[in-house]
Amino acid sequence: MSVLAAESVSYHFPDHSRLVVRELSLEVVPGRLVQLAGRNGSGKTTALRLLAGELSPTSGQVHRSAGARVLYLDQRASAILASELTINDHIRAFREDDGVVSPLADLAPFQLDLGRLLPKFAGQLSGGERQIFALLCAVGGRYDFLLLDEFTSHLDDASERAAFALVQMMLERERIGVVLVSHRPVKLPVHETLYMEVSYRE
Amino acid sequence: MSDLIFFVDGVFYNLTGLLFVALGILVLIRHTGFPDLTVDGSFTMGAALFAVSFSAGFGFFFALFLAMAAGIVSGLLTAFSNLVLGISKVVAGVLSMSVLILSAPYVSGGGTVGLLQLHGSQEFLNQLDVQISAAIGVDHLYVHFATALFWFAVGCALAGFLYRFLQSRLGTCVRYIGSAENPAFVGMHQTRLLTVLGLAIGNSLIAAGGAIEALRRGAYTVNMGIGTLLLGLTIVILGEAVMKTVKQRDYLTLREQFLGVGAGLLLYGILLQSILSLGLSYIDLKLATTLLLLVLLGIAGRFFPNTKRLF
Repeated sequence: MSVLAAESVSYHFPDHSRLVVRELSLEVVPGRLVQLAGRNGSGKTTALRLLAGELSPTSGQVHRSAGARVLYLDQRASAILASELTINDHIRAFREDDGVVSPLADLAPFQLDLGRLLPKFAGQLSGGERQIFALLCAVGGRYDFLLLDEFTSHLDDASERAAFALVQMMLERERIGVVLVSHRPVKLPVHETLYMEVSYRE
Repeated sequence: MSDLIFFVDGVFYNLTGLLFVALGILVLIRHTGFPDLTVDGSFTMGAALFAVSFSAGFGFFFALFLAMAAGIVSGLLTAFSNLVLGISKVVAGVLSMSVLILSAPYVSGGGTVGLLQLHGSQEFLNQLDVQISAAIGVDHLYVHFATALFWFAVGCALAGFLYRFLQSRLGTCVRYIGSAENPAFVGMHQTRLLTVLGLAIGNSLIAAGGAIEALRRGAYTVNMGIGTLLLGLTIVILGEAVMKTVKQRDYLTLREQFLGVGAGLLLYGILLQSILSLGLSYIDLKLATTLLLLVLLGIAGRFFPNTKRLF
């Protein structure tokens, strides 16, 4: 079983001594969702970046199973799409089940009419459309953990419902572990909520 | 009529080596997304190794294979500098280029290697061209139809293999890392391998271009690779500008990119032959090419911003 966990992790940015993340401990279990909640500036994004391995803790440890695939998607998740490839290219390259399940079957219930966008280049799509397709390409990509940082903040209601449906699909079908940051209500089964506070101490 | 035949012959004959160069630049700049300044060095080393091998009696295809192998090594050298030693992409390319250009004389034995003594398939093609020229029957008009057709056929065969590869899942992943701002769908480990693959393929094509160009000019010369990057970029950008104007969008499919290379080659070939017909030298030609690239990037970049994305 893959493991993603933080053990008493603290972090301050190199140019500042204030601890942005203070003594964070959590464990992400396959098939379960952990929500990080808190005010702006409480270190939620930094915590996700520590879990993703983009940052190294100032103290404490992040445990990540060898070979575990972690995907971090933020409000600019669209940056992981290649502007000059079509959505079909992305699906062919990164969804490992594309020969078995039609990718649009996952989104059919939401009537987003995304089929017409498949042959288009990623660079031609709107920000919201790119967000949805970034998540769609992650489905079936055999990731172990998904870190979502305000992922739906730029999406309309229908697209947000579709995004949450895709995440639920990955939780149930692929048994991935999810850590989610969202200021908006999360229509997903949250197994644990960690409240992070703004730290003024150094 | 003889002027027209001479002009057309010149256009296609001059383009034979440039086809390989343009394909290599397409892979390096557009697909791998690597600002690879190794290009001038790969071209030079490919030419040197081909010239030495061919003049030593090895067959055309074997000598070309050796040149392409040298190109792969060139790409690996740059990849090592950037990915293992942590040197920036541009500096890694410059260092590799310098090593290759400065090492080429050791391969060639010091200086120019003549390639006027043909053998094997090239001698056969040369004889065929002599017969065709005689059949056309215009005094002092020597055409290269058979030779140019043969080299184009080799280039097109390579282009076909390249196209099939880039359409495959692995090839799409190479194209992905060259275009995505944050290629998170592949891990860091995979990104490195894909970069190495792109550099190897791109530089092997450049080296093949050097080989063909040495054969076309009748000799390898020490500085023949200088300006190759600008030349290849001009052809690719010219072709992109044409295709994007035709398609009226800032993005091109893989098929359209390859057609663009063809269009850019043809247009550049016409321009090149026109300049040569005016009596200008190759130095003047490289200067004219650089100025053309400047103008192209400025004009095409205003209408199609993605065209300006080079590095």
